[in-house]
Amino acid sequence: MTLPNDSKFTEPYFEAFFKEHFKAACSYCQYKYGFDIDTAKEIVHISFIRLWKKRDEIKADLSIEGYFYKILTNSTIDYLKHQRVKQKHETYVLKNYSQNEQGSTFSEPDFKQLSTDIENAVAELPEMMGLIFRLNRYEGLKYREIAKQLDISVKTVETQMSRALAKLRIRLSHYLHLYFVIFWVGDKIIF
Amino acid sequence: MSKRSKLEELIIAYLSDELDDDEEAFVIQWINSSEENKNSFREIEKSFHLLSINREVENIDIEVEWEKFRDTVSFKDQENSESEVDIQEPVSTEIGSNKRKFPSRIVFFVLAASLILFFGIRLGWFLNDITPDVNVSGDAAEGKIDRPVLVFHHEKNETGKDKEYSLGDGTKVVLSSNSELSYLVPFPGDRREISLSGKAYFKIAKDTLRPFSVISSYISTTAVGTEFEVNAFEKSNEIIVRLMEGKVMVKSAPGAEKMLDRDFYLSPGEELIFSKLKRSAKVKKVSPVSSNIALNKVNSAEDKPEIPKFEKGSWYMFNNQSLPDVFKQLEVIFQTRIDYSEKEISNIYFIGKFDKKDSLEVILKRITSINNLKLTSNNNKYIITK
Repeated sequence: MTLPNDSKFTEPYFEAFFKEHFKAACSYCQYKYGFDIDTAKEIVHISFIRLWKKRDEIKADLSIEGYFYKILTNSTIDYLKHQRVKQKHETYVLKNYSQNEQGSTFSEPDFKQLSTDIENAVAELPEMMGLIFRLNRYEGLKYREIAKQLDISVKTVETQMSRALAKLRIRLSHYLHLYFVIFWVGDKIIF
Repeated sequence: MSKRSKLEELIIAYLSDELDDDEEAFVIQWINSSEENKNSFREIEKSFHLLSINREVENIDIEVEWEKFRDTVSFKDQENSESEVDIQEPVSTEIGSNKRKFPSRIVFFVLAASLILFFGIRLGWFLNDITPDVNVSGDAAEGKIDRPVLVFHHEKNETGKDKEYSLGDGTKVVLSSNSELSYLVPFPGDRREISLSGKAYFKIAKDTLRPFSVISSYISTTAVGTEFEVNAFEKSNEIIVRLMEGKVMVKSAPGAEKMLDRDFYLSPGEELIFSKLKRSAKVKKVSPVSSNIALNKVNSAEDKPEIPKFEKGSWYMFNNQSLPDVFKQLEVIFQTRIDYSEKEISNIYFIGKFDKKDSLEVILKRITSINNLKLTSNNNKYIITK
């Protein structure tokens, strides 16, 4: 989004920008740094507040999105700096981020499209596979429950889940090559 | 090739929480055993993660988030509010100039390093003579004071991940793995108390009339409306309380051997470290807390207090309640009628603990056998007689 000439980033524009980008920013934040949804929302809120405070600095031909995502990155780093719990995590992030975030162009995948793309990719799965996938990931059923419900073996469910994920991976590959992702496995961090 | 795909299936099952402890340990070990394995795991985890995130983000209500944002930055002119008769500009147009104020009821979200302290918990803090393993003991106590009908809730987190709970008063708790907490529902009287073993982060709903206390076997931390983290694992020598926002007071736990010779007060940015060995505590300053970012977290649309779900390891406990009260609660919990003569049993009090897995019949059998009562069942109800 860029502003028309001579405009300021006033509330109507801000509101539109906010509503357009909030969810995508949360997905991005969650995916890239491994945060849970509540932390991601907090950081995104903080970033919008910071953007709001700086709104007078936004000139007509600036890419607001790029500017905002810079703020988002900085807010995340601030958050991690203060979260001294996972020290290894923080050191790793800061080390990677000071090196990599020099560019001014925003070239990350567009998370606004994420849910549509995922929907389409899941819809393209073969019928049984798609059903098993949805039952597990969307309805929250355990393998055993799915096996019982569909009258198949647990082994089949395991295999189908694995194949579903393999297919989805291909379809969503353009989201997946963010160069830096953190994983939390329980309390341990696996890099 | 098939070994490869078998591993993939295991990894995916692992990410879906389908594996038992042994299988999980195996997978984790495999992942960490080489860089190549880590990368393989990462590949799979990435896509898995992406799909999960999408579901969570889908649930976000953008209008609610926008309102939350506006509340945080909007201009609330507290001083002029009384006598403004002229028509105010609706807030949806340009938000004000330099006079920007944060609403007074903002709960600060403080980004601060959390300290983790371990509290050892002896759940008997609440019932002085009961240890967690002792089950049922009947008490025929005469002339006890009337008590409200209370249910004792116990939450145990063995999932390997943090679990968030909302308590009935709006307080939010994030309970870490290998941790448990207990509290009464509803909070009786003029206090809110919760006992903790392990680690939890608390964001207390403001209630100036009812201070909130977190109790371990030795130490009680009391706050009004605030955010702090308590770390109290039994195996650790230290208990640490770290305060992010608000004010807390730390003192010896009631009913326990007096460990602290005085009360300690913490301000934001301070931590108290209690050493079990040394039986003493000290207060330290930690890195300055960045509190200039405020978010209005008290958003009525989101704060729906709910009774936490019970997982494996949870149980009910009745704390010296009269049998009629106990039966009333059991009726509600199990949706089954229990007949008894109020006169016959109202002077019998009960202290006991039941597993969530126990059936009503098992529970009633235990209660009646201890108190020399007879239990019969008829159609869909139970009958208790002397």
